[in-house]
Amino acid sequence: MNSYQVQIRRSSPGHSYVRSYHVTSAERMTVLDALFRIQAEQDSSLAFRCACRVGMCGTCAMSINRVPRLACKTRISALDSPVVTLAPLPNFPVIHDLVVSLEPFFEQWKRIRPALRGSPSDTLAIILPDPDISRKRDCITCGICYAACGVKASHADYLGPAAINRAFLRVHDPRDSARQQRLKILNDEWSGVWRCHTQFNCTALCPKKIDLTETIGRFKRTLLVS
Amino acid sequence: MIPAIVWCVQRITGALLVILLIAHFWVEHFVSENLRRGDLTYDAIRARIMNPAWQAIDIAFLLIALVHGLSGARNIVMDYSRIGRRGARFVTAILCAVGAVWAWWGVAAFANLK
Repeated sequence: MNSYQVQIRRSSPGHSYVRSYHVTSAERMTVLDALFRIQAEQDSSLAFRCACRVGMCGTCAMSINRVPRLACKTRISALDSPVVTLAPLPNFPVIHDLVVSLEPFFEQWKRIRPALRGSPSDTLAIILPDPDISRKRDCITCGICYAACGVKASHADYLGPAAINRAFLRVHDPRDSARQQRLKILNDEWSGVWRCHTQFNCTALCPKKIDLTETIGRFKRTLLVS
Repeated sequence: MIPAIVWCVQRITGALLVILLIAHFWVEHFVSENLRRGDLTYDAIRARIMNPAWQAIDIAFLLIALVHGLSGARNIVMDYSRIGRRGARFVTAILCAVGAVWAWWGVAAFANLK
């Protein structure tokens, strides 16, 4: 059992401060477990978000020791620090404490027309699994890539890695009929794939190990030769 | 297509700049006999840049550096400013004008060599 100091950036609209809590951690305790313990034993007003608790839903994404991660998949012992700093995800508007609004993320998501566009008969067709892109289907829309993106931090109109990854899945779906419209949106110099500077932050931090930078690079090559 | 070409040109000019810069440093600091002897003069430099091959290399160096540098400056403005799409078009026009003037200025310098 180790003792940790958990520093949480608490906030409500117009007001922000850091509050410290002490937590005694077991070997396998996650950051989310620690938040539940703090909420149950020390401060019931602490707000955070979670759902599945097993890394499937992406709801508990937050900044942990200045790195965006899933709280349910991050063991406190693995952080290798007696002080654990928690803050809301960067690049998102904060609603309360560790809860952020995902609205900007899904605004960009909607721009690439995420739903399959095709005739009803085509959408019933069975497509063979493609090992090249199957990994890219694992996105849980946690927003970590969006929070980690250095370009997104300075350029609000940029689509962001997750939306581009979703567009990739649609463009490479033989049943989809909106390939050209999506490519046009992605080819926009102001907000499309050309804004990516290949910093690899999204790829490094994606909890599902999706190579988002490679996705964006492939789109650049596609657009260059099309 | 235009954004793709701009992106591609930025990469190609970047790669060319690496080659040209290495060649530039090598020629200026290790190959130049006058420099090594310590008697580098205006006449020595003039004699070299009167050579059409050197002029072609120097003008190419200038144009490649201008395209790469101004395109990079445009990227920085687009990334870190809140100028919007119209503002970006205005900045692009300004940078193109700056590039054209600078290129003319550099090329005209060779034309006036005596």
